[in-house]
Parts: sequence; C-alpha cells; structure tokens
Amino acid sequence: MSVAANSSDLATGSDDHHGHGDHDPFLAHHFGSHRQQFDAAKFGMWLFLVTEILFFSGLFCAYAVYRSAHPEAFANADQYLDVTLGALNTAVLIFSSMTMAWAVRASQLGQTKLLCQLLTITIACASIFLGVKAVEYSHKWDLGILWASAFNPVQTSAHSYALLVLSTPAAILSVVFAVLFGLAKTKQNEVSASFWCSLLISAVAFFGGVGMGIAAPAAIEAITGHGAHEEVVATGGAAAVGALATEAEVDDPTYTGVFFSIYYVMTGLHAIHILGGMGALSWLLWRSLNQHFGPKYFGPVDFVGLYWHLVDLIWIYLFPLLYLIG
Amino acid sequence: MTSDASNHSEEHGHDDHHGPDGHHVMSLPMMFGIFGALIFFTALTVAIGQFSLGRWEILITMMIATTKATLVALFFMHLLYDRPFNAMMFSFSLFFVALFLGIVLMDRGAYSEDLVPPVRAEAAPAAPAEPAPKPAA
Repeated sequence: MSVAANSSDLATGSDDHHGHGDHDPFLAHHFGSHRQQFDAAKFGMWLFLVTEILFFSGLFCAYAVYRSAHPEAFANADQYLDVTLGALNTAVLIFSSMTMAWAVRASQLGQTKLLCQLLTITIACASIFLGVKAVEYSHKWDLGILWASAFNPVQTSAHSYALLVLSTPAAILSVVFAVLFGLAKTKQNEVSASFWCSLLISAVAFFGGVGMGIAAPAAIEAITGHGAHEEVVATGGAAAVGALATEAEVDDPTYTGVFFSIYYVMTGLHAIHILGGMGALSWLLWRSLNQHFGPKYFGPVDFVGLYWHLVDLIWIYLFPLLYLIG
Repeated sequence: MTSDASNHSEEHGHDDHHGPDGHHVMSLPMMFGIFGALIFFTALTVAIGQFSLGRWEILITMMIATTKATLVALFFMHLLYDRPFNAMMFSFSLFFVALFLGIVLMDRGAYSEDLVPPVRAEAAPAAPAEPAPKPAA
C-alpha cells in the first residue's frame, strides 16, 4: 500500500521540488514524500538505538561477569541501596514515558498546545528523576559508599554539602531561565516566554525531586513503622548467629566497592542519557512552540520519543538488577 | 492514503487507529492501560523483592523486567504497528547482546575463582628467602 503511495508521490512530487514555489520547509529535497522521509529517518533512529543497546550491553556484561564471580558482593550491596527511591524513580520514568507517547499522539493529531504541555511535563519528570538521583548520590557520598578505590562505609552520616553541590546546576539554571523568561515577557515575545517558562518549571522540578527523595523514605518509615535501612539492623536479632558466621566472608568491602563502581558507571551513564534527552526534548519544545509539527510532519517528536523510551527501557532493567536482586 | 498533503486537516484520523499517511495513532485508553500495567509490574517486582526466593529471584525479576520492556517496546515504541524491519533490527541487537553475554559468561566459567591465585601459607614456608612470584611475571 505504502509502496504505491510512495511511488505516486515520487511521480507527482518530483516536479514542484525543483521549482521553489511552495516548497515544504520540512521536507528535504532528496525525499519524494513525507512518508519516505519519515521512514528513512526512523530507520536511522533505530540504528542509533541499536548502537545504544550494544553500548549499554558492555556494562550489563560487566555486571553479569562480576556477579558470577562475587555474588556475595551483590548480596552485601543491597543494604546500602534504598528500594523506595529506586521504585519512585522507576514510576517517574514510566510516567514520563507515557507523557512522551502521548506527546507523539498529540503531534500526530496537530494538538500543538497539548504537545507543548506534555513535552514540559516530560522534561519536568526527567528533572524530578535527577533530583531523586541527587539525593541518592549525596546520601551515599555522606556514608562513604563510593566506588571501589574510595569505598569506606561509615555508620553515621557525615553532613556534607554533597546535595547542595549536586543541586547547584539546577539552581543556576532556574535563575537563568527566570531572567530569560522575564526578558522575553518585557519584549512581548510570547514564544520565547513560553519556552523559558517551561524550562523554568522543569528546572524547579529538580527541587521537587529532591524533596520527594528526602520525604519518600521518611514517609515509608512512618507507614511501615521501620525504615528500609533499620530493617537490616533490626533483623539482626534473630539472624545474628547465622549472620555472624557469614559476616566474615560476606562483608568484604573490596568486592562491594566494585559493585558500587559498576553502580556508579551504569546509573551515571544512564543519567547522562537523561540529560541528553532533556536537551533533545527542549529542542522539540522550541519547535513545537513555533508550530512546526502537525499531522504531516511529526517525525522528530516520534524519534526523540523512541530515544526516551529506550532510556526508560534501560532503567527498567537497571532498577531490579541494582536495587532488588540481592 | 497517499500523502495528498494539501488537504490534510486536523479532523482527519482523530478516531480511527490510523492517522494521516498510514501512521498509527495510539488511543488514549491503550496508553493509560499500558502505563497502569507498567506501574503494576513495578509494584509486583518490588513486592517480590521483599522475599528471598534464592536462585529463582533473578529469574522471576528478570522475567518481570522483560515483560515491562516488551510492553514499552511494542506499544510506547510502536513496534507492534511499525514496519517489521525496525522490529527485526531491534530483535537482532538483542540477539547479539545475548550472544555477547552468553559467550563472555561461558568464558568466565572456564577460569578459576580469583584472577590472582592466593599465595598464602604454601608459598611462604617453602621458600622464605625468595619473594612470592608477582602475578605479572
């Protein structure tokens, strides 16, 4: 069906592509039709996603090899990771994946306003994800739960400025976006104003994520009566005898340290992908505000969406592998 | 269905499953349904993680993760409605990841537990004058 469509487009479209009369600015010269351009671009995007999968597979391989070599390190590492925060971030990413899929739908149907709102929500969710991650990272920094060469866990949390440092970029960006929003407003540039307003919301959402990251474990503690971290200590009463016997071989900080090396590289690389996705989504938002997308031309939204879902897909595996399986 | 582009209007393809140019437009109930299923499976995997299931734990958890990944790929990534070629490419990449992991793990199984074999009591009394052989040498 579509082959016929493409060839007929090629036949009819080839004439007006050379005369620059009413040439569609979003259809490149070397494509016969929007459908052909879309399929070619989608093919390219899938090729890129395949390289991404193979890229991450190296890390999954490192994980698998290390796990097969030192399963006790992975069992031991479980006590340092907060499942609540991991699950919260999973939910945030799944939600952002849904808003992204919805954004693709909105662009296909030409619902520009909805598209802009959904893209803003998606970027804000990415920001919340990073906020929760910042709480996790800073907490680990305070407890000395770092990569192998610096792995030196302590019982009492040192109060450092780690969280403040990790929040600085978001704070600076919030101020910058607020200033740019103000400037655009005074110049009565509505498109720019909406753009900076959306980015301002997204940057501030980071602090929402930080708040959620701090509040969620406390809330779980209040509901269940004991926190995830105390649980490990509390169960010691019954299991102390068994635990003590295995303690000597289980509690080897060298191997647990290597688990955290893998943890930091995997989650760090994933976080870099989130940052890249936020950049791409901001670009989409700018173009959406300029009314570029509609039923005929929505490829970029679809392709960035594919990338965003892949980032979600990788997290779907990272969460159980790092947080759940002990 | 040809891209008779000039009169593509917004009201076209609102309710049918195929939008302009034969592109698949996901329906809202489907989207919320998939979202609900993904959240359900996340809750399930967290709940299962509270019990220690021993050697079954990794299998069950990975099966749930793969179910979630399949939902995302088929629906959110439109693979179910897309040209089969894209799905084929995706499957091939997963096949090669499986080969990669499988062969590396097979290889790892063929070696001893530690990269550096422990030079403990055996080495020390036998040759106290000589230093223990360096692993690099």
